[in-house]
Amino acid sequence: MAIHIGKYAFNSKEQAIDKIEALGVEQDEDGNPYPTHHHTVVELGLEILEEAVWDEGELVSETVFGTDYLIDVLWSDLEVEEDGSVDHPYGWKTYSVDIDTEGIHRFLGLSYQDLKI
Amino acid sequence: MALKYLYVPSGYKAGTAYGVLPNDSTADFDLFQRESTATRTNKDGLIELMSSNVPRIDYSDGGCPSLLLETQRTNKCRASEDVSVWGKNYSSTTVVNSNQVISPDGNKNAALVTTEVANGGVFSLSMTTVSNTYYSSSVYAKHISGESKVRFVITTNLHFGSGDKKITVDLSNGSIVSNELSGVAEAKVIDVGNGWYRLIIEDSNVVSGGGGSAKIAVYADSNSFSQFSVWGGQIEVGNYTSSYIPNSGTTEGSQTTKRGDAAKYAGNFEFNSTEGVLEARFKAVPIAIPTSRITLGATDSNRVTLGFLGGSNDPKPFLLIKDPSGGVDEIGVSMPSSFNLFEYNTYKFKFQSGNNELKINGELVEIDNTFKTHTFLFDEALRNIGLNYYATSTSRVFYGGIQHIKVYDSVTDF
Repeated sequence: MAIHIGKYAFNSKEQAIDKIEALGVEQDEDGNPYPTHHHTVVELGLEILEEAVWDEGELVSETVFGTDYLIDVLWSDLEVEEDGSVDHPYGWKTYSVDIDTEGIHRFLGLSYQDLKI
Repeated sequence: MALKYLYVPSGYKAGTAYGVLPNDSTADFDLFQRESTATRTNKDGLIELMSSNVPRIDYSDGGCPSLLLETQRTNKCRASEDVSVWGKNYSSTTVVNSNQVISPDGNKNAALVTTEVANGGVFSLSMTTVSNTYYSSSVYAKHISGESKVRFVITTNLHFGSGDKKITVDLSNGSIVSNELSGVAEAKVIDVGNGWYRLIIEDSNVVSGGGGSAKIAVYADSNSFSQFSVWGGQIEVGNYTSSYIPNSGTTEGSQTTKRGDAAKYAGNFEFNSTEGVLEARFKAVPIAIPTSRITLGATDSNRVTLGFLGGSNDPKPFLLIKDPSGGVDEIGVSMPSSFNLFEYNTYKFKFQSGNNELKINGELVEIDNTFKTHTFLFDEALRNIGLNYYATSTSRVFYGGIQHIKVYDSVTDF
């Protein structure tokens, strides 16, 4: 099994959810949705612009958020191109970000730098 | 007349949890998948990191090991092990020294907290909660010297009320001596050995319009000299606490995800009977999905299931039979009050057309008469055990712990 990690910044939570659902969702016998894909999607939430400030356990100022909605995905068995490369699923590449560190989120035991798409 | 299939947590390798009977590969869950590392409690009682796709044979419940199957979870508690970078309350009288105490993972990497004032202690680096979400918070703590009582605190924005909420725990014996969580969350303390306890506040609800910066904290309970150790903080989305997830990140928003387990199925063993007994000893967890299942089947139209209900249902044991006639019958079974679904129990499900029954821990339990008398006729041998809806399905995955699965080909084994 081939795995890759992608980091994405969508314009809104709603847009991110639309993209996630487009990966494949079906309904079970009770009408409840469940994913039909094997990818691991982690919603990190809105980008943090300024950290919260606490003083001896008391909250002084809240976190300041941006507008980008951040998503990390552990992709499993993406389609391999003729040249052996893999690409983001349709509609995701536009929102992908490439950073030089592991970022704020990790999949336990896996390195984004080693596995990034 | 005979035991046809047996799984007991024992041998494993990456991608495979070995079954016992039949004595060949058909007994094995050989499509086991979890694309990240995850922790278990090993037979020495230590927290151990297991590689990707390696099934976790877990000893956290003591005694018999179990196959630990968990859904995906993310630890949002920054610097979960290095408490020396957490904040200090009453910092003028609280001292934190790193790497002083052997932690639950067996390494000398736990910090020592020394204080002599009530509410002196440490609080985690902040994280942000969101509305309409349930959280579970936990931390490992150990009494070292002096006063043995500590307060485990969740701050505002980690529950639906305002201000801090806490439990007070005597770390000399793990007892909860005070609990402010009534109607807010559930408290648990688990003895993990070597004087360590996992302090848990779970199922706390951040309601609509709520959310924001939040923390967990471990404080001394009195104005007396107190030394205690703190390690392994965890704040996760979900209504129950999962196995520990190390999260070393320190910047705001840092978090680490463990992938969910998918054991899928063991298949193609011989089972050429239209009646039999499906038995499993398992511990349920309060799942968000409607059902969690152990399925004996051949095709979507030929299957029997033993599991438990979750989601918006009352959590209780669950039974299902489906045959090619299109007939499907399923029920939730009221649990006898003497048993707890979230502890290990042995369930024996007898499927016999017109006479279906269930025993829990050897006790025949009342089931709905329509299900009991449900008739069915399979047209294929039920030759696979799936820990899900069926075969490789990603739906109705079994989450919890399994200590054995057995299939008998005759109802005389009920």
